[in-house]
Amino acid sequence: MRKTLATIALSAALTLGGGLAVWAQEAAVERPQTYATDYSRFAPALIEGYIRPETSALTEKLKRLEQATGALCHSGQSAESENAFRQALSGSIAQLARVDFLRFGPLAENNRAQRLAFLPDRRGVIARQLNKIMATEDPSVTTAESLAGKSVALQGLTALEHFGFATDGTLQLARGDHESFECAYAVALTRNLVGTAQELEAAWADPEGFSKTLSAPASDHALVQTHKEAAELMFNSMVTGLVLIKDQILLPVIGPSVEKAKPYRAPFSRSHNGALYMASSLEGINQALIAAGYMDALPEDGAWAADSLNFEFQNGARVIEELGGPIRVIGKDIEERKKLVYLTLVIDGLKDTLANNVAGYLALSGGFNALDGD
Amino acid sequence: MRSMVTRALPLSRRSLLQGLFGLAVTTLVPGGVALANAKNTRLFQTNAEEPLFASAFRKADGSFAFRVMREDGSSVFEAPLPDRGHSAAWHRETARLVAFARRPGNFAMYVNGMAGDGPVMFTAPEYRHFYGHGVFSQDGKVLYAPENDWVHKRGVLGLYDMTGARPHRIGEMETGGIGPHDILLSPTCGSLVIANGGIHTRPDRDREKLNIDSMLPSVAFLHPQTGEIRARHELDPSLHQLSLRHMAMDGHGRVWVGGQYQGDKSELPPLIASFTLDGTPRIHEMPQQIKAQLSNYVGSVTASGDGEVIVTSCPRGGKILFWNASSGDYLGAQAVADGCGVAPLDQEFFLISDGSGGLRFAEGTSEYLELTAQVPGTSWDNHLISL
Repeated sequence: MRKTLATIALSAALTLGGGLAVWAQEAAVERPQTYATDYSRFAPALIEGYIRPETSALTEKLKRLEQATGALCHSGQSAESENAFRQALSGSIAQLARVDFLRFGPLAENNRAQRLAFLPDRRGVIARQLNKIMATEDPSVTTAESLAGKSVALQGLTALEHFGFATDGTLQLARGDHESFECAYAVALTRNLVGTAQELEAAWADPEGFSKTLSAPASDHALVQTHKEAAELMFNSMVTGLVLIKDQILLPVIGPSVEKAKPYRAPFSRSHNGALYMASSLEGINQALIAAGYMDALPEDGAWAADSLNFEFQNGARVIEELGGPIRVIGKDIEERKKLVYLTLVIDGLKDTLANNVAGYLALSGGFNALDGD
Repeated sequence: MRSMVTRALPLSRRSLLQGLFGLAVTTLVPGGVALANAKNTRLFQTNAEEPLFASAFRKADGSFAFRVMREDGSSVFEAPLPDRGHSAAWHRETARLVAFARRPGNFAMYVNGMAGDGPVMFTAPEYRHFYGHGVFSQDGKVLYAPENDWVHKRGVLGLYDMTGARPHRIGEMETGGIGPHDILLSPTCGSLVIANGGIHTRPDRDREKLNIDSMLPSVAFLHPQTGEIRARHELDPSLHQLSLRHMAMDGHGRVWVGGQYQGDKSELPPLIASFTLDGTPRIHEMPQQIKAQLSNYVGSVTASGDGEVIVTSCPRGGKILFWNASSGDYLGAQAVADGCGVAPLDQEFFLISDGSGGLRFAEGTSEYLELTAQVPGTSWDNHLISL
């Protein structure tokens, strides 16, 4: 299998400039026979086994970032405080990636996903709004309370990364002409992020909240009326998470040619956390699938799908680990691009196995339009 | 249970014609004056620098709404819908917008973008329901909405006078078939073009298909004022189960139609055909390996701004297909999971929406699709329109 995929990756890399055939072809897989499945088991398992601990961990990681930002700004710059800030930022980004594919319920409410990270930002909204803020040293972003009322583009980790780092990855927070303003903004931003994460954590912890919507579906609920629908909502968010890794990160990074490649478009690549964000997303999706029990629920003749997913998730992690440097640095290197192209194929394979095979075995329906269009 | 008594047409044919021509007279008022006067009060203003789009969608809490938005999904206007929506009719000069329920829904929402008033909900009359689509007359004063007359197993166009504060139904026309779905107004041949899907349904049987064995889809060209059926095209009898649903007109005046096959799932019939008023329908083939992935289902059809490229979305196959309007040839495909809504952007580009809140910028088949938005918890519905 590995050899086959590697061969495909090479040929895909070679033909990339010729029309992106690799992205236009997806295998059509016959849906296998389905078996009776207890759909009520998935939501409680995912909530208890993954969502609650991971959203709690996000709060903790962001609290550390808030502390590290304060230390960097107020205790004077030192290698130690800079390292601590970098580590705290990386930890927060990695943890965000383990949570932000759960794009339903609490994360989809009150703009929480965008408040944590404003993605995608094709039109450079963050840069534009930051320029205005910096030019006027707008005091309304210097307290968490007032920042919470500002544009979501100014509230997320994506904004902090943008003004905290130069394009070459150099840490520039608290070093420029706007040092004290930037610090006040950075501390407010991280404090506001902690608040957003706490909201998210609390919403998932609430036994009468969306947890109940998923675990005890009501026939009169607008979104989730059955256990099967709950299982589908969660499952489809994981499939979408894979699609986003490819569409939001890899495709712009690779581009249709070396000349048109945009490595800088990878989220968090400015701080050299682009690969980490991807790797953590993959890892999180894999662990969420397992925690929910989707793999355990596969019938005996579908166990191969769990093995295949396990292999390919590891494969994807290995490819990212073997990248020769930060995405912004290696993005236009021919050999490194081959690895990234190969990664798109691994993700395609993961998506296909999930959306076609696992969904087929468990009789999970996907697609708002595909399922029941008109 | 509802009575089976046929409801009389609200207007006689004569009064209908008088009404239509009466409206037509008022089109002599220069549209530019109205535009200039209303410029500052427009509810939404699209322009080259900030093109706007509109779509029905499901929100994170499961409720339904309709949004006018920028390409990044940010809202310019949003209003709740009582149930799932489908598509919308838009008239740029008068800024009139009507969003329709997904069949067999019976509501529509009218927004007068000039006046800046709140939306007005209206319904099709008793024994009619909408099919999710509509189109305005050239002057924007009349709305044509495909409707189901299930009692008589026929499709009709409901005609609504849009010049007042509320839409007012002034009559109806037969569409020449069952299950009229998408509709467009062809400036090339001066006709209303309707895709009669051919499938008989009744609201008391929800979305159950009641005549699959005998269904007979067609594309009909109607005189917009008289309702005269100027042409009615069917495909080869072997394709009578290819429900002709969604349409777009290319820059050469051909109407491209995407179908949804109701026959044996193991078959791979052609899914795309194009029509003119007086020509023979043309089938457009695609590579078999692509066709095999589409579940025989086309969800929407759109033309580029310059009319040179046709896009057909196939959400069940996760594919967006591109076609050369001049040659009729298949150009290639892009992958978008659950992608269905496609709207032209500028002259050559497109914006594509999906069921997971994604919006993607498409330059064709040679560039990757660029994600412009991923709105959490949102499911964009089947159709995306450019304002």
